[in-house]
Amino acid sequence: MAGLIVRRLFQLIPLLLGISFIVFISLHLAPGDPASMIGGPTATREDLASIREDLGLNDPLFTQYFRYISGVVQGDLGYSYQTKQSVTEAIMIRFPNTFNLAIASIIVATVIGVGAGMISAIKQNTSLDALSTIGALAGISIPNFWLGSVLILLFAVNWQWFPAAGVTQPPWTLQGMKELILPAITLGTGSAALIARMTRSAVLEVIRQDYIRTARAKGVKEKSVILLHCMRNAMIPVITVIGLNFGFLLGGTIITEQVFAINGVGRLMIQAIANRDYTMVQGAVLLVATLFVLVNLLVDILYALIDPRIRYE
Amino acid sequence: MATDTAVTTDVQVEAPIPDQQNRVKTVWRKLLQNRWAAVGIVIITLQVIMAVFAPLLTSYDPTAQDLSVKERPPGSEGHWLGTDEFGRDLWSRILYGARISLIVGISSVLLGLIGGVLMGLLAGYYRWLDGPFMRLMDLMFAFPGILLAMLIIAMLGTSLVNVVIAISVWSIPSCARIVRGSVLSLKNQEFVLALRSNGASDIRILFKHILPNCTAPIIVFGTMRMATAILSTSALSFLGLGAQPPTPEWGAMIAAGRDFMWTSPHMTIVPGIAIMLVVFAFNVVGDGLRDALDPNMEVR
Repeated sequence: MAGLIVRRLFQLIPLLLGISFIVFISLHLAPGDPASMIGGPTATREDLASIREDLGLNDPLFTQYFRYISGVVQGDLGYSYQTKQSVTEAIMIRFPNTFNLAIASIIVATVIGVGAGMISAIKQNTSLDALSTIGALAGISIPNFWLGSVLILLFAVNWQWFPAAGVTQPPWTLQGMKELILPAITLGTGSAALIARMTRSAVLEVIRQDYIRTARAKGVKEKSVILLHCMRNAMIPVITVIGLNFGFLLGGTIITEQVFAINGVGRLMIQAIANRDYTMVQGAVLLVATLFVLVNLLVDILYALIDPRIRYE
Repeated sequence: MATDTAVTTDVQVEAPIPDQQNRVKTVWRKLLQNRWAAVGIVIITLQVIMAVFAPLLTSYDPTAQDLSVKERPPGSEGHWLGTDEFGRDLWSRILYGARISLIVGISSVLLGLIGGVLMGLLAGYYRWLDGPFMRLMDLMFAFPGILLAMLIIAMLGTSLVNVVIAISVWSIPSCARIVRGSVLSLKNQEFVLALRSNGASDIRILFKHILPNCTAPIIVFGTMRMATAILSTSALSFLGLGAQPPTPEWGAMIAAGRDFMWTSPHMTIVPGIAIMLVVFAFNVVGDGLRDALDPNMEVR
């Protein structure tokens, strides 16, 4: 197991370097001169030359990249061209909101998805199964930015059960939970649909196995057969889907944060793209992509922990 | 699929493409027997009709403003789906929006397929290209799709054309992996070996013989990708990174309608339903195609 973790960690290094290079180079190729952005419209030619020299923009590209990456590993993502604020600081202030939203969404997605998938499989070919299948198809097809708007209209404006926008309280307080519920449902619905489909097919596959028939023949209660014998084995692929979806939800927070005006990394990124604040975009993209890769690594390790066969491959 | 290799004495070696017409008919019949896929086909057909005949289906210009009829609810005289904050007819905006979503969807999927198929074919066929190409694809997979699209838009600027480019780049890695997998399983089959021994060029083997045998997974991927492309286009436009006002794009319409959600919810609800139906349609047709093209699957 330790060998697998070490191997995976080593594989991560070139991937992270690659991500940082793509992020660095893509925004380096973007139109516009950073020196003019910092200097503003009143900057003289000498001012611009001095800014370029200070930023090291006259250095070869690889020198600039190594300077950038050495800053990144020390937690320095540079300064915003627009606001002059530290990018690391701006991201760190907003990151907890993004992380809490992603966690809340994966909880919603798992509860709804596993529950619906299980019911659908156990009650195969009944109206409950059909309802769950239609729900899953609809869940995959609903644009989450639209679902969020409709939820706000119904639950925040019409019935006033939940706040319409913003996150002001920590998620462990009642108000914090109320603030997170609508965004979490909005973001989690698509993943819930995928998890439901995966759970259904995994349970259906396991439920036909001989050992399940044996358990039933021995007189084990149906509840125990499903929860103890069936779910345990059916959960292996489901956990993978949940883990992979957590990574995608981190990306999905960008849209949900905008819908619910949550001050997170995604919203910061959209504002930065609109303002052509490249260093801010760079920092935010790098953070989300790195987290995405790390989550996938964790899923791999978790998968190996649950299923011993993976370790020996 | 690739079984009945025909090698003749006059060096004519043909890839084992089954009788195309019969195959298409069988797939089509299986697809129509799947009720969800049949519903999806109806919705897609309606969208195509709306997109192609938009000028005939409405007398209103989708961008023409008439403030005397602004924010009219659905069922109003002359505007059966109502109007928006500038008095623009919502039905005509939905019709022209169908055109935009179809054009953007098709062009981004096609571009993505071209890139993905080329990379997949080359990576699968030439061992020396496999490593570098697939590592590049792994790197692209390291970004959540929407993030990759936003990075590209940050670089190129906000416009529908750049959305097409962003979504097609996002589609390349998945498509390349699918095609590479098929090529790896095909390239050592007897008909390819026979072609090679008969002196057929690599280009001929790849494009005339291997590619036609990879079409099933490519078609399924392309159909499913249409759903993702339409959803992503509207999401990016909703965020202000795609279509700009007054373009009648569905995602942009939802974004504009949000400011009037309390007074005129139809401005948000109508385009949302349009997106949902079309995305649903491409998803179920994709699912149906996958089942219809898989000889091991029973029709539901």
